[in-house]
Amino acid sequence: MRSDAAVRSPWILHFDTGSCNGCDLEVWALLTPRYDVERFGMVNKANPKHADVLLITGPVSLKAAPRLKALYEQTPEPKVVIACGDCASNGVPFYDCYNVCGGIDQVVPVDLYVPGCSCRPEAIMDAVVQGIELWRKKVSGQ
Amino acid sequence: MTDVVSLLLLAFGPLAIGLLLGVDRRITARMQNRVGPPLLQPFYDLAKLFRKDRRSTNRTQVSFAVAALLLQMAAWCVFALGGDLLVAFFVSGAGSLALALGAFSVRSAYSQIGAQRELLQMLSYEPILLLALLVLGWQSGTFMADAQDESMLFLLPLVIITFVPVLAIKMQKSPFDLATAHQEIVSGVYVEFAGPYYGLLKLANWFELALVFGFLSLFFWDQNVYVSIVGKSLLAFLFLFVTVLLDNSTARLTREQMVKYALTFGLGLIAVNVLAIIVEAAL
Amino acid sequence: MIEGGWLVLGLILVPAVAALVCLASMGRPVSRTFIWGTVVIFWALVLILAGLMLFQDVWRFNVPEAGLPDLNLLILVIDLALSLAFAYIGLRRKNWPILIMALLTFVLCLFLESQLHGGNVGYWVTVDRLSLLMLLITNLVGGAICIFSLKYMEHDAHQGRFFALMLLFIASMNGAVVSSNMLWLFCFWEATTFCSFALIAHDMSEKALKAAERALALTLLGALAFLLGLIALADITSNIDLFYLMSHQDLIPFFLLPLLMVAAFTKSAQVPFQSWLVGAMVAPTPVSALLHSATMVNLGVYLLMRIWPWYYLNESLTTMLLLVGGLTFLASSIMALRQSDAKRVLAYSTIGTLGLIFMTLGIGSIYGLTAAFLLLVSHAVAKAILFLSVGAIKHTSGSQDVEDMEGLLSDRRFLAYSIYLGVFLMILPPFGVFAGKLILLEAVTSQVLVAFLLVIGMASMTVYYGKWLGRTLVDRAVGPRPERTDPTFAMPLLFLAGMGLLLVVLTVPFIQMFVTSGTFTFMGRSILPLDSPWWELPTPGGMLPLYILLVVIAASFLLLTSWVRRPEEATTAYACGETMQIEIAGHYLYSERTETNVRTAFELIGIGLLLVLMIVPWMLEGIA
Repeated sequence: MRSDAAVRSPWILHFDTGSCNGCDLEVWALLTPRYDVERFGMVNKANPKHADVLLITGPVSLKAAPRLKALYEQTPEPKVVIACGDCASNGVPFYDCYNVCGGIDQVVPVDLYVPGCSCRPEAIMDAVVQGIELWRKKVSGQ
Repeated sequence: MTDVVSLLLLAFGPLAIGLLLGVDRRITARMQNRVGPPLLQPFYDLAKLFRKDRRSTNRTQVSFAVAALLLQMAAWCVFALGGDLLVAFFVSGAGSLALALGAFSVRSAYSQIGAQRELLQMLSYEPILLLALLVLGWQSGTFMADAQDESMLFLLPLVIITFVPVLAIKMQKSPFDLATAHQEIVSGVYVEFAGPYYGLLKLANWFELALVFGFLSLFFWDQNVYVSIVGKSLLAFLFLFVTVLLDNSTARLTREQMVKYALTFGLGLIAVNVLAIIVEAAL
Repeated sequence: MIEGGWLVLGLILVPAVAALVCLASMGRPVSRTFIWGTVVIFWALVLILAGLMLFQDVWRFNVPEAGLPDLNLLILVIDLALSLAFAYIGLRRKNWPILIMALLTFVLCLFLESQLHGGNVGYWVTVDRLSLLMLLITNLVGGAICIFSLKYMEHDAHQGRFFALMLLFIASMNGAVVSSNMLWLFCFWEATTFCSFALIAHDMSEKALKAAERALALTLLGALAFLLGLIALADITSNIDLFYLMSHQDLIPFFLLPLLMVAAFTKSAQVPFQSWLVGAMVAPTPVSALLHSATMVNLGVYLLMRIWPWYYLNESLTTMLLLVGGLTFLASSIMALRQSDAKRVLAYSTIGTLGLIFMTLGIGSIYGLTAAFLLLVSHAVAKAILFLSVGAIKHTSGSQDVEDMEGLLSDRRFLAYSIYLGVFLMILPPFGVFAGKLILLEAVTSQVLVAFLLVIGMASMTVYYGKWLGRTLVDRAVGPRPERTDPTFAMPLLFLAGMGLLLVVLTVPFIQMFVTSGTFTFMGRSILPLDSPWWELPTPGGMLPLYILLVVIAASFLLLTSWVRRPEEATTAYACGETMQIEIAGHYLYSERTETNVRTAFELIGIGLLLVLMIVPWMLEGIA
């Protein structure tokens, strides 16, 4: 029961690692009345210490990499990392660019990838719902 | 009978606050044309927080979180068991101070700013609430919570209105949500409290709110127990609604503005009410 | 009963003689053993006295005049000598107000003496519960401060003079609170003025001298008011023995009481006279501690507590006390918000608390008196702890600024804890100061408009102490290793901490011993019985569940801190993923200019209030 209640409240940290802001806008769209993710108890906390789900956008510029790592480390377990958009998933739009790491998973472990340039809010929601399932597994220690 | 009521109050007060906060989020969502979270969302949040890993930056922080909760619980106990209103008020104030000190103990910009602001918030709401209680005790002749058996709706209407800024500050609502401004200083005082420790502080806030709503409910009373209970609840809901409405229609004030406006508004209204009573008695 | 009386004389003579010895050793460092010995002797004396009075249920000790040489002449000579000394100071420093006031004092003293011939029956000294309490505070706290000074003033060039003045201060304070004859009281009153002047000027820097002169000028003003009051009194009763007056209260014209009140206000630094106490912060820290907790400022409170039976039923006078006290509390609390110098914060806090005590006296009920006792004692202990802690910090780190105390908890754990204890004694429920405030708040509902003066001050008191604590709590990742506190610093602090905690635990017995009945021997026993269960403190409109709250506080800060185990993994502070170090500074609400304006405004209001206070009783008298 407790783990059931626990997954009803995934709090989000959204971090932009050098995205063109296309995906960011779509993440923000989740909070609007049209998508209203607060229905699932999701709240944008902007603080790793309170976050459960990390929604990360952008190809991770070299400058952003240590910051991303720090934020990831400051988020207490259990947590789910979702890479939002093509840049975040594999850095492809910036393939072989001199100043990017090429995807979130080059820096921190990623649980779910959301494709699209930019990714659609429906897709992000779908990812978050799957993320909640993952969360449930992590909470119950599987 | 009264013992049973006290014990029920003791147990269900904070739970009712949890529910009230759920209602609050629903109303907010509706005002923003959204559906909003389930009514029990605050409970889910709390349950989740206690499932997270325990991580803190230092030990001091943790002990102050514990102290904040214990003091708020003690304040609520004093109130629910019919004790002295002012004692409950001051113990709860010590709880707020503990929260600020916990935030001070971390070398983090947001936490420090939040703590400074928390202190300023105390400077803004404590005089109002304390004076409201003093005036209540002045009129009813006693400060014991279980001896308040007079309706003050028509005697102290302006004093009751001063609960709006108090509630706005304690519920972390705009325009007075300075210490926990999430867009600005990332939830301020709470920023460095993670997982279960944040849960402790949330719970402390519930107890604190229970106390403030408890104070508010004292201003209504009726000989019929049921009318009394319904009236008290209606009063609480009315003020919740007004606070939420304010939250959704105002922008955050600056520190100086908060102290100035809250104090002038609160103390001014109470002064008018008190003078009216004195003048009426003199005539 | 004479044995008890001799103990009291011993309390005056031991420190006085020791002071002379210190003075004689001028130039050479004072022997530590000597100071220790003196302190231990007067500690022992006062404890034996307390034991005799409290456990043998004695309400009064007297030393009768009969059979002893005539000391009145000696007292007069001391009085005149002090006036001349003040006049000399005024002349030397070209401070004409001081010179004029000192000369006036000289003349008025002589005039008073000429009115008092004969008819003076009574006692040299009378010790009742109120005097006993003052003696306990002065000697126990004062002694601890003396021991603390041994280390603090270790390298001072004028150690002999310093200790002589400290001991003389304690001796004159002891003398003042046991004097039965008001002339004696006045003499010791002047002696404390002298000691405080000399101690504030200890550094002999221009700043210190200026501050000392200001203190002298303002307290001389009070002394003049006191003297005028005494002359008016002598004119009517021709006997100014307290014992005599207490049993002839109907003789006392209430229009002269404002004069005594003004004297008390100057001594206890109430608005508009508060500036001398703030200026006095230039003195070495032990001096501040002594002025604030054990001696000086308590004397004004003592005077008004002593004559409380004379005025507590007079509404115009009690209202004035409420207003002056309330104004002082409000003003000091607001001004303390702006201060970053720890000693100035403490100074304003003292002024405010004294304002509270005057308010409690203005309540005019036994509850008010209870609150006054609680506030007086708890404040003395808490302030001594705080001042000594600040002194110890200054001694090692060279700074007494709140902003420089960052990370104190990591560096100087012992001193940090003693500051926390001091602050908690000042603001946290259910400690003594809080209990006093609670009683006061519930009692002022009878004068509900006065409550407006109180509420803002109550909140800002929490804020300025909270700000200070906040600075000391900030954790420091890197820094010097924790330093051990010098035992000469630690011992008095531990002693005072023990006193403070004991006082908290024994609040109810304390009240029963000191306030319930026989507080003023003169008033007979049993003013009002406080028949309460031992775990609760009755307040005018409610109850303070003392011990339950104590358990909660103890649990919050002791048990659970150790119960919450250290987290497995420490994490870093959130800084948007950055790793830079930040610099922290406190927030001080308003500018220095506003502070000056606020101070001036409050002083003007205070002067206005005092004028009303002086005039109204005369007018009322005229109407009657």
